[in-house]
Amino acid sequence: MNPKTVYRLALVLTISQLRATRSGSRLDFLRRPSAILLMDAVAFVGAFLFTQRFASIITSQSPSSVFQLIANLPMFLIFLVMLSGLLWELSYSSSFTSTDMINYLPVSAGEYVLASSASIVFSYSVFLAVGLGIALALALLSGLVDVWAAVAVMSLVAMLIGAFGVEALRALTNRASSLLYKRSGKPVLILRMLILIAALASFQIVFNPRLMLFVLEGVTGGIKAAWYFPLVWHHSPYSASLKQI
Amino acid sequence: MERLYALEIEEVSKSFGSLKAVDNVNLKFRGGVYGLLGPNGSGKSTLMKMVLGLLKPDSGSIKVEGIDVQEKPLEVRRIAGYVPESPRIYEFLTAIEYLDFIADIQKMSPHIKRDRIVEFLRAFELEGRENEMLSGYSQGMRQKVAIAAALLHRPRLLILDEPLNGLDPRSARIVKDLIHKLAKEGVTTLFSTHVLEIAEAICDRIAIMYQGQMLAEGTTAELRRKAGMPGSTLEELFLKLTGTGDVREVVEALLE
Repeated sequence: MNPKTVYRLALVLTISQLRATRSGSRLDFLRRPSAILLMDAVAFVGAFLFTQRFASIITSQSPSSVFQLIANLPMFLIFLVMLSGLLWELSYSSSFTSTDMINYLPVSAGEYVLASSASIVFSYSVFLAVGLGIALALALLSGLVDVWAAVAVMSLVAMLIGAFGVEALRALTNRASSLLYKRSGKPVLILRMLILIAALASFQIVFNPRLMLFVLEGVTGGIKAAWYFPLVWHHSPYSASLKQI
Repeated sequence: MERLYALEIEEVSKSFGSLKAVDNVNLKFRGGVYGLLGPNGSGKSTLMKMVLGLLKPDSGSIKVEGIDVQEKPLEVRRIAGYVPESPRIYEFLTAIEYLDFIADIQKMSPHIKRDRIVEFLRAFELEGRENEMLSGYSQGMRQKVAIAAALLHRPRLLILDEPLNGLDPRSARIVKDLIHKLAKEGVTTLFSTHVLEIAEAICDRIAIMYQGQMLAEGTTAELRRKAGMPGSTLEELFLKLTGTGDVREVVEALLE
């Protein structure tokens, strides 16, 4: 896997996505990747300052819940990325996500998926910025800065996992659409809608912790084996490791 | 040492359901312009997609400069440049951003890429519009960008699927001259068209495809000799070889 190829492709996909989804002259500024970075910085500082004003109330009333709140940030982020992906990414035209052109170039499937997922993460990075801003304010007051640092890394991983999920769904809908493309436009629309509904329903089921743990325990023989699922992180060595920090 | 073929297609077949799109095709060549001639649906595009590894043959093998396409498709895509029949490009990029991206993916050095992009934009009369988004371009302009993207890294094998579709006469002439010039420099071109005049003007050798099969292959002189039609036009040859020569009857039936 070539990191330069992944970076270059991720940049192109991000620019394409921003331009395709944020049209209109008044929003021109928001169509640049640098604007996203600026927005992230503002969101991080804003969330941090806002939380800092009220953090003392939360930390004094229930110190243990602060730890839970910070530790569960990755899970919350994966939920947000997948939900946003389902609501926004799948409903857009495939004109900016089409893999047709990439197929003619020396780009591997792995490089494309990673670049596309990175592009999704970047598009929704404001969630990460707000989440980390809130968590940092709480961590500073509770002396959990080391935990916050670990959670920051895991949050990024969680967002990438969420983006992989969105990418898989997008590939599925694009594939299904292209299979029906030559017939007519209506079946494609109906198919996309059905996939969206099915995905939303599955999403509800997947994020039902009881059911998920039941399935994971049954399938993998215990949640320790399912460490890669952010959903079980607060039950897993991840949570235990955070407590030790 | 044995010289490698630029393209080596051996007993390749491909079906889509009950439709045999490509039927036991054999083809070997190096250098020059090789024309794939055939009516719509004759299997030209399917064959080209298999050469690039976009479709997997049901049987047979395809090698580009000795490299098996199925084993190392990315290496083949570095050697080759491809213009599909209907290019789908990232339409929310500008022409310059798009070409810059292609050049980076093909690992071109910054100064060479800059010069080449400028050359192509100038040649295709896209200068002055290079900072407009491709979504605002006409079909012909997009075709020019797709051709520039395929040629930018100076591929050793060019795969052009109906590349002159939608081009204005001047740009079509530029593309034809470019193909000739590149052929002289040793670039091998696989060129598909159903326009006989274009095939005759551009191609050194021609393969006539019909219903997935390669009916005949050779220079136009060889094809005339094989068909026993000395002095005939390529159109007459084509109609005889494909068994679609009863055009007059069809026209008369339409006018009745």
